[in-house]
Amino acid sequence: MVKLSVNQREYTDAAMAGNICRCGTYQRIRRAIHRAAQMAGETR
Amino acid sequence: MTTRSTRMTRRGFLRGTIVAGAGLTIGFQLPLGRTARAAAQSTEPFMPNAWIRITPDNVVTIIVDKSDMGQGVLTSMPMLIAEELEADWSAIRVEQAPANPKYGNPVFGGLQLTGGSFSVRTSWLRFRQAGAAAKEMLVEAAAREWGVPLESCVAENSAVTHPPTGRRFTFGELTDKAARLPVPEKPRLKSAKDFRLIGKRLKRLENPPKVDGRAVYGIDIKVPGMLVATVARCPVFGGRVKQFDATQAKGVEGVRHVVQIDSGVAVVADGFWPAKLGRDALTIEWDEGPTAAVSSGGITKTFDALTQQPGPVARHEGDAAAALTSAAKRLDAVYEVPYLAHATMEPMTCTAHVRPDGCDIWTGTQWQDGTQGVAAKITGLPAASIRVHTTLLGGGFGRRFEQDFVAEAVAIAKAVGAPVKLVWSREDDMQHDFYRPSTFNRLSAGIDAQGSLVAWTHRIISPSIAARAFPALIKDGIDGTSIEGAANIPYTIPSIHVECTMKETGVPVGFWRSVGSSQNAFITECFLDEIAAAAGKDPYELRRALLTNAPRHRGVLELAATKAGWGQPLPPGRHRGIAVAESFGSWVAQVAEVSVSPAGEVRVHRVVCAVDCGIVVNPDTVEAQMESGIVYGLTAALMGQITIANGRVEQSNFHDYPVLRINQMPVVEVHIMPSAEAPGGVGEPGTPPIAPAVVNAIFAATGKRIRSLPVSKHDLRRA
Repeated sequence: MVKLSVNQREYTDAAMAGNICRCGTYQRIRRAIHRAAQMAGETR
Repeated sequence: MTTRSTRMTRRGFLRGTIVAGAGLTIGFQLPLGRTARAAAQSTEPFMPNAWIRITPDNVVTIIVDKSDMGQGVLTSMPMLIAEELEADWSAIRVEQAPANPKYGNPVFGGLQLTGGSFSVRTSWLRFRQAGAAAKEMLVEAAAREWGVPLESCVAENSAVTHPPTGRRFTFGELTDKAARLPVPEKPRLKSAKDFRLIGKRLKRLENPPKVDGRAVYGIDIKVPGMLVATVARCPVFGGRVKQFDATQAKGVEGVRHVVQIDSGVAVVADGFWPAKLGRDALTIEWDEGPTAAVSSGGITKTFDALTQQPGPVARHEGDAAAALTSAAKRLDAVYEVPYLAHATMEPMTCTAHVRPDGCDIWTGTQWQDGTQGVAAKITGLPAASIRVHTTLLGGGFGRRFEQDFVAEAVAIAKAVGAPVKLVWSREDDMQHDFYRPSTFNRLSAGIDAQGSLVAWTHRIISPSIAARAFPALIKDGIDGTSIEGAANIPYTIPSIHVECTMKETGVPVGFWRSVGSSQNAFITECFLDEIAAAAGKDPYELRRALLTNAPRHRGVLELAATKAGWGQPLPPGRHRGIAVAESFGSWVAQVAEVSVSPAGEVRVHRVVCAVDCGIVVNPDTVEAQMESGIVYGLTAALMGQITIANGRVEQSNFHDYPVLRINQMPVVEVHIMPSAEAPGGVGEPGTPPIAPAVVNAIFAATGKRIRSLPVSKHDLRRA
């Protein structure tokens, strides 16, 4: 599982703060963003 | 998508989405007019009960009779069946059930209803028995064919094998013979140690289409010849149309019809935008009615006055009046909570097509036969001719149990003689909701010289949800939903007295996620915190000492406190608050870590949640539901309030009814109490403890006691 540093989390949180989730999946969204970024980094 | 079964093609049912590779179909209802037992024909599917269909091509389809609003019933219900059926999980298909009495829930008196955090706990035995019975029929069919003892056969991955000889039949090859056998009345269920699926973090079957956009919600429905409608409703509750002028509206390009219905004036057009512009162009004179005099301030005054008189008694033990008089220390407090909107991400939508011979309705509803009943009343058609196609729900939270938007769509469709999709705007949705009740509460507590809690009284004034929505829940003049979480507090206190008076205000109220517990956990767990402070006791230790008769409360309380490190030092500025509540068959405790800046800004950093929901079907879903319930409750606690002025809701969208954003989201850690007990609910139990946990932490941080929500209306600035 991807663990986020505080700085990583604050960065993506600021970028995503315009999107609302009423199901409350925010911390899964955080993990998904960082996982996708990692995967994108891995394939470069 | 095609299927090789002739019978399915002939039925021509409306399909939803397909996930290639996973072999999963999420479709809409099959008009099922036949009995469960198939006739002796080789193309007939095997349908031993309402939830399982196996076709000769070995496709196992599970029919789910619950509505999916993100809580994952489209996965958890099939898990229960597939486990005992021994179906190949990688190849199962899932369909949404039609509205039909055979899908009625015995726990709800036969209603086909999704709510009350009831899906897993009322299906746990029934669905497993359905799967096991089907498996036993398939095994017996194979054993008879091979002439071998039953015990020598093994069912696994949608096939039956005979290990001694290596012979094998797929379920599909056995459908014909299995269908001729009697359905076992008492099939044997697996013991937990043999579970292959239950207890595992299986991925949600219905999620891939949500990610790539193929998922179909009510708002996505498109049927041939469909028109789109909006409705202009009186902004004052209960107001009616006096007269209206549609001339300008009809002049808007794309507008086809303007019709008056019970709730207002409908504009029907080629699409949403012309329908919206047409509605804007209406001139309507309203008869606002008596509710125009109602305001939030007036409601508070009325409720406050009512607390000066006694009301129907919900709980009475010992002699609280005497104990309060003789107590060494007495606490009195007034607690108040506001109306709250559901604010589902998808506003209310419903598509209806009324014909002389029948009716089709596509909508995200939590109550299928409720939808059917409302449509039958409006159209005069027999219920059996009204087909309800349940889509995914873009959030339910209890709002989609209501049938108001269905009634509107059906009335409009009947009037215009074409399929009509009714779409509510966000403003419509926020101002025409059935709100979580606003309640007013007077509490008193008595503490003796040793610092022990000897008396607790709680007088509640609340509008009644059940009076309109579910009268059976009213007993001896008390609405059960108003006292849940208040009359059944688990603490050992010698004298307890709880009263509840129902009082209508003209503002419609309904079931909101965790219902009465949503406000009563805040009120009781915060008042208990006040008692701890007055008695000089640690809030966690006080609760532990008082939970002498409540082992499952104590279990989650201790688990949450331990995992949160209660008592251990925190980073500077951070403080902890704790709360525990039982609701909907499960026990949940939460510890919130909160900081409050000198400017009075509240930041929730971390929430540690412990849940005892009995035996777990899908742990990932339990965690997701706790996270979800916490966010829903935290939003309400920090910033949620619906206020009334002149009989109108003052809020209209997310600019003035804010909701939690990702940059306000705490880290949430969920710990599931291992248990072999029968399953409890998880949809709602995560919500009640978060408000008190946070408010108690704010007290620890600032010394300020918050007795009315939301937190945002309080000035927490410190010098």
